[in-house]
Amino acid sequence: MRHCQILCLKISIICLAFGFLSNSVVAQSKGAKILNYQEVFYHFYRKDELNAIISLTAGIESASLPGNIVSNNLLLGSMYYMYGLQDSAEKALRKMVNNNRAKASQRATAWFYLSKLYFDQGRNKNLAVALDGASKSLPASLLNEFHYLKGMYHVNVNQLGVASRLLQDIERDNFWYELYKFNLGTAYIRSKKGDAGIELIHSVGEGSEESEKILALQDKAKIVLGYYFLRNSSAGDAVETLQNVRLEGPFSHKALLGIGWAFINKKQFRKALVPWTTLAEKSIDQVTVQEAILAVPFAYKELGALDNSMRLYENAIGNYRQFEAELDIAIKQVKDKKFFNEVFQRNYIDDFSITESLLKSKDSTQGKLLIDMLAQKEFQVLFNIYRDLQQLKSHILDWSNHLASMEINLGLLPEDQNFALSDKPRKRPFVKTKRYYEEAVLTLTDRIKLQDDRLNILLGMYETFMQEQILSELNKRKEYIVTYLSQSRFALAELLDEAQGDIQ
Amino acid sequence: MQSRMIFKITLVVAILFKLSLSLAENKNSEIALKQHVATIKEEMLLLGRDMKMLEDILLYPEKTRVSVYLTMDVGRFFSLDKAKILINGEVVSEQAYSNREEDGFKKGAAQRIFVGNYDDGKYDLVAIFSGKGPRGRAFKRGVEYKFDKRGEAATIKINILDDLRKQQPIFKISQVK
Repeated sequence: MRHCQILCLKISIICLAFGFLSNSVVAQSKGAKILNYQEVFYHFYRKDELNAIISLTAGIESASLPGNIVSNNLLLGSMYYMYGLQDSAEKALRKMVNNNRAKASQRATAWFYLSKLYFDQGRNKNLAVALDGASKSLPASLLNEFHYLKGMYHVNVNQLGVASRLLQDIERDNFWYELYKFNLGTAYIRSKKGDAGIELIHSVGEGSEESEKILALQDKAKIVLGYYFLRNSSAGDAVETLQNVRLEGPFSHKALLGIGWAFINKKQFRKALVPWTTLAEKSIDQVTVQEAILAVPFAYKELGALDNSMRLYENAIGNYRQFEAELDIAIKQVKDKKFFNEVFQRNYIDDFSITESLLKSKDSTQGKLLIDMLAQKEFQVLFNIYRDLQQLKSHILDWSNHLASMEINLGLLPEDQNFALSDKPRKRPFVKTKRYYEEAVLTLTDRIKLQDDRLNILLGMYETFMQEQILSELNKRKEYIVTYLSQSRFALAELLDEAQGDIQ
Repeated sequence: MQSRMIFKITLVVAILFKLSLSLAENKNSEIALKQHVATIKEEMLLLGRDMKMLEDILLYPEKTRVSVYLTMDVGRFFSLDKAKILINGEVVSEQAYSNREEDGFKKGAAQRIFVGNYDDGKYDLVAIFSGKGPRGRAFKRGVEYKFDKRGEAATIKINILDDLRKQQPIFKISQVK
C-alpha cells in the first residue's frame, strides 16, 4: 500500500508542480529564468530527484529562477521527501509553515506534506497537529488525500467509529475513497469486527472508474477477504471471492492456491486439483507454486488415486531437489559477489539498467529469484537506495572532470582577471577575482575528494548489507524448499508403507 | 523428566533470545546505514549546488554561453524518440527519449539539450527530430534557425507544438531574451 501512496504522492507533487508552471510561470513570461525553472521539472519527471534538487537549490541561491522563493521552498520540501531525505523535508516544510509571508494555501499545503511524512513515519501525535494545520485553505486537488490521511489517523489510534464516519468526506469515484475502504475494512477485520470489515472490503472498486490501479486494489481486497473466509471456515464464500481475482494480475497465484484450499475444506478434492494443477505447472521459484506442487499429490491421495499421488510426490521431490541445487548455486554466487556484480556493479545504474540486467538473466534461477525479490517492497527500497548511491558516484566522476576543465579555463586567464557577474545575483559581491575562483575550485576539489572517499566506504558497506539481505532471503527460500522436500518424502514413505501393508 | 523439560525450555528461550538479539542488531545496523546514506545525500546535494553555480560561471560564462532548450506543448501529433542538434554543421547534442521524459515535456518541463561556448557572431542551428507522427507513422523533421550572438548569453528555445488545422506537429525555434 505504501507503494501506492508514494505513487499518489508523486502524482500530487506533479499536479502541484504543474500548477506552478501553468499558473505562475509560463503565463508570466518566456525568459531564460522560466526555462531554468522548467528544467528542474525535466529532472523531476524523469525521476532524477538529485538533479532536480541541485537545479532548484542552485537556482534559488543564484536567483536564476523566476517566481517567489516561498513556493520554491515548498517544492524543495516535497522533493527532499521524494529523495528519501525525510529530515531535510521536515525542516524545509516546517520553515514553510512558520513563514508569515506565505499564503494560507501554501502553508496548508506544507502542513499537508508534513502530514504525509508523519503518517509514513507513524508519528501519530505530529500527524494530528499537521492535519489540523492543513485543514484550512488546502487546495481542492489535495482534499481527498487529506481526508484519507485524517481517516487513517483515527484508524492508527484505533478509533474505528470516528474513522468510519470520515469515509463520507472523501469523494466517491476516487482512488483515495477505495484505498480508505480497503484499509478501514482491514482494520475492522483485525479488530475482530469481521462483518463491518467484509462489507467495506467487498465494496472496494465498486462504482469507481476502471483503471489498473483500482483493479489491482480490487484484486488485493479479494485476496484479503478470500483468505479471511478461509480462516473462518466459510469455504464457499472464499471460492466465490477468490475466483474473481484476475488471472493475469499479480495476485493470481495466491488466489489459485486459496481456491484449492477452499475446495479441500469442502472435501471437494477433484475441484481443488483444477487451480492447483494450473499453479503447479508454473515456475517453481514462486513460493505459491512450491506449495501447489506438494498440494496436488495430496489431493490425489485424498481421491484414492494412490499411483498418481506417488508419481507426483516423486516428481515433487525431483523438482524440489533441482531447485534446492539451483538455490545453492545462487547462494554461492551471491556470496562470491559474482551475480551481484553482474547485475549491480556499473558506473551508474538506473531503473532501466537494472531491468535490462535482470531481463538478460531472467532465464537463470538467480535472475528469476531477483525479479521476484524486486517485487517486494523492502527490496525495492534497498535497490533504490543503492541506485541513488551509484548515481552519486557517477556525479563525483562528472564533477571531477568539470573541475579539471574549470582549472584549465582559469589558467588561461590573466592574473588580474575579474568576473563581472551580469546575472544580477544579489547576495554576493558583484565582482570576483580570478584568485577567488581558483580558491573556490580548490575547495570544491577537496570536498569532492572527501565525499568520494566516504562514498566508496559507504558503497562497500551497503553492498555487504545488500548481500546479507539477499542471502538471508535466499536462505529463507531454501528453508521452505527443505521443508517441502521433507514433507513430500514423508508423504511418499507413508504411501509406500500403506501400499506394502496392502500387499502383505 | 522434569529437568529435561526445563533444559528444553531453557534451550528454546536461549535460541529465541539469540534470534531476537541478532534481529535487533540487524535492524540497528540498517538504521545506522540509512542514516549514513541520508547524511551523504545531503552533503552531496550541497556540493552539487555549489558545483552547478560555479559551472555556470567558469565553464559557461555569460559572455560566451549558448544554451538550447527543448519544450513540447501537448504533443498529440508527435511522439518524440530522438533529437539531434547541429551548430554550424557540427553535431553538438544527440538525445534519445523515454516515455517518462516525453510525459515530462507534455507537463511543462524543459530540457537544456545543449550548452556550450561560442564567440560573438552569426550561427546556424539545425535541429532534427525523429519519432512517431500523426497516426503513429514514422516521422522525421529538420528545422533550421539562424541566430546572432552579441556580447551576452544566447538562449535558444525549440518548442514542439500541435498544428490543429493541419493535424501536424510544428517545430518553432526562437531566441529567448
